[in-house]
Amino acid sequence: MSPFQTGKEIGNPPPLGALPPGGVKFSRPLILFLGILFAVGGIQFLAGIGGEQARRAWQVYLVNFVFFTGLSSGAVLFSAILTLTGAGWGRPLKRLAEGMGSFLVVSFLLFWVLYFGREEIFPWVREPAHGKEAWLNTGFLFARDGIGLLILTALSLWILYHSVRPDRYAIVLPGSGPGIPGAGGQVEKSQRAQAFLAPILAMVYALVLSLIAFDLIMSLDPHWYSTLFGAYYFIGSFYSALAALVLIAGIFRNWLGLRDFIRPGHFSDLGKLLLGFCLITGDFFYSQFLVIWYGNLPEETRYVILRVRESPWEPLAWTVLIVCFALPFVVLLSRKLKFQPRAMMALAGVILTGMWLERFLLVVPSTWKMKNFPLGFMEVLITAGFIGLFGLTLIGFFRKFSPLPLSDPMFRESLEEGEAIPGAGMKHE
Amino acid sequence: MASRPELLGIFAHADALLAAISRLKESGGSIRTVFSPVPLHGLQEALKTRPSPVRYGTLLGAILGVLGGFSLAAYSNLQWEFITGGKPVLAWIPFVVVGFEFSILLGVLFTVGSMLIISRLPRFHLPGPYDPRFSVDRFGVLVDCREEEKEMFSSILRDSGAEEVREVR
Repeated sequence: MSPFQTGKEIGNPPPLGALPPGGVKFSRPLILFLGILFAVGGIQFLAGIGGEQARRAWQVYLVNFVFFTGLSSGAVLFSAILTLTGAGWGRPLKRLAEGMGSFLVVSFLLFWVLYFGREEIFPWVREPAHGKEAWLNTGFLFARDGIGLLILTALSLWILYHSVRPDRYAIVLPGSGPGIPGAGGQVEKSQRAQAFLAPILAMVYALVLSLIAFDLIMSLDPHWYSTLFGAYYFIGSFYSALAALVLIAGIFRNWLGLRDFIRPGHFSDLGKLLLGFCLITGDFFYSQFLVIWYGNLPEETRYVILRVRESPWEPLAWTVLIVCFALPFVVLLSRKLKFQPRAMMALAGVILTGMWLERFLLVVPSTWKMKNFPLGFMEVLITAGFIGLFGLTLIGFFRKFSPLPLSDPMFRESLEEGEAIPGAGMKHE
Repeated sequence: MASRPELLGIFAHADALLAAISRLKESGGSIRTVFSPVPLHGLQEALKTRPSPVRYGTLLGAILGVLGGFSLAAYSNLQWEFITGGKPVLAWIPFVVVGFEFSILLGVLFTVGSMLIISRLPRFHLPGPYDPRFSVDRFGVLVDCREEEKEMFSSILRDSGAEEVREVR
C-alpha cells in the first residue's frame, strides 16, 4: 500500500482545521466525462488526419501542444519560483501547480506524434528553406527539441518528487508544527534538493521553451524571424499557467473543501501576479511589434500584416489583444474583484481562452492558406480531447498525492501562525 | 471650538489593538485615529474605512498622462512635419511609448500630491494626544466619546488589554 493513502491515521488535527489526507477520491462521472472528452478528441484527431483536411487536424494539434506544454511548464516554474524566492504566501497553491506540471510527461509523449505530421505542419519539410537547411531539418529538429523537452520534463519530475516525497511523514504526524518530528531530516533534505533544482529549472524553462517557440511556431514561416519570439512565448506560457492555477485552485477549493487553506487572499495575490504578467506579455508583444513597424522590412512585416490586416485573421487579432491584454488589465485593477474567487475564475477562463486563441493566431495563419477560417467543430473537439487528457492527468496525480503540500515547512508555518485565515488572530486573540 | 473628550488607549500588542477597535466599533464608538509604529495588516478591515480617495488622484494623473503624452508627441511632430523612414508624421504606434511613460509619471506625481493633500501634510505640529512611544513600540487608538460613554469605552479598552487609558481634550 502506498504510504500516501494512510490519511486515516491522522490523530490530532492541526489547530486550524484538519488537513485533508494524502490522495483524493474523484467521482466516477467526472472521470468518465473527461475520459469521453479525451476519446472524442482522439477519434476526431485520427479521423481528421486521415480525412481530406488533414492539415486542419495537425495544426490544431500543434496549437494545443504548444498551449498545454507551455502551461504545464509554467506551472512547474511557479513552484520553482516559490522555492527560489522563499515566498510563503503561495504555499497552499504549490502542489496544485505541481499537479498541473505533471502533464509535462504526457506532453513529452505527445511531442513525438508531431513527427508523423511533419509534412503537413512544417513547410520546410515539403520544400527545404534555402540557406537554413542546417538548422531546419527533420532529424535535427526532433532530436534537439526532444532532448530539450526530456531535460525539462526530467527536471520537473525531479522537483515534483522532492516536493511530494516527505509528505508521508507529514501524514503520520499532522499538525505538529513547522518541523516534523520523526522525519529524520528528510524534509530538510528535500527542501535543499528543491532549492538546488529551482534555479536550474528556471533557466532550462527559458531555454527549452524558447527552442520550442523558434522550432515549432516560428519555423512555420521559415523566412520570418524575431529574436524576442522565444521570450514572448515563455512569458505568455507563464501567464496562462497563472490563469490555469486560479481556475484549478477555485475548482479544487470547492470540491475538496480547501476553503480554510486557499483563501480569497490567495486569489488576490494570484490576481496581482496575473496583472503583472498581463502587462509584461503585452509589453513583449509591443516590443516586437514596435521594432518590426519601425524597421519596416518586408520579410519581417509580412508576418504581422498577415495577422492584423488580412482576412480572415484580422478580427481574431483584435479579439486576442482585447481578451489577453485590455480586458484583464482593466478588470484586475479592481481590488474588490481580486478577492472574489468566482470572479477571478471567470476572468482566468477568459484569459485562458484568449491565450489559446493567441497560440492559434501564431500558428495557424502560417500553415493555413485557404480563405476560410479554420476554427470549427474539428478544432473544438480536438481541443476538448486535450482538456480531457489534461484533466485526467491532474486526477491521476491527485489520486496519489495531497492537493496541499503537507510536509512543506513554510506551509505548516503559515498554518501555525494562522496566516491561512486572515484575521484569525483577532478572533482567537 | 468646544472640544469633546477623547479617550486614548495605549497598547503593547497589535492583536489587542485590533480587538479593541472591533469592539469599540460594535459599541458605536467613532475612532478618531490610530497610531502605530509599523504598517498593520487587518487595520483597514477592523476600522471598516472606505478606501482612500488617493486612488482617484492616481487614476486622474494616469489618464491625464496618457493624453498629455500623446498630445506632446503629436504637437512636437507637427512642429516640424518631417517624414522620417517613410512613416506618417502622426504615427501613433511609437506615441504609445510616450503616452505610457507619461501615464506612469503623472500617475505617480498625482498619487504623491493627493496623498499629501488628503493627509494634510506637511504638518508642523504633532497632534495633541501623540505619544513618542507610538514611534517606538506602542500602538494607540483615539476614540471620540460623550461623557456618558466614557465609562463604557474605557472599560472596553482595558478589557482588550490596553496598558494605559487616558482622557485627552
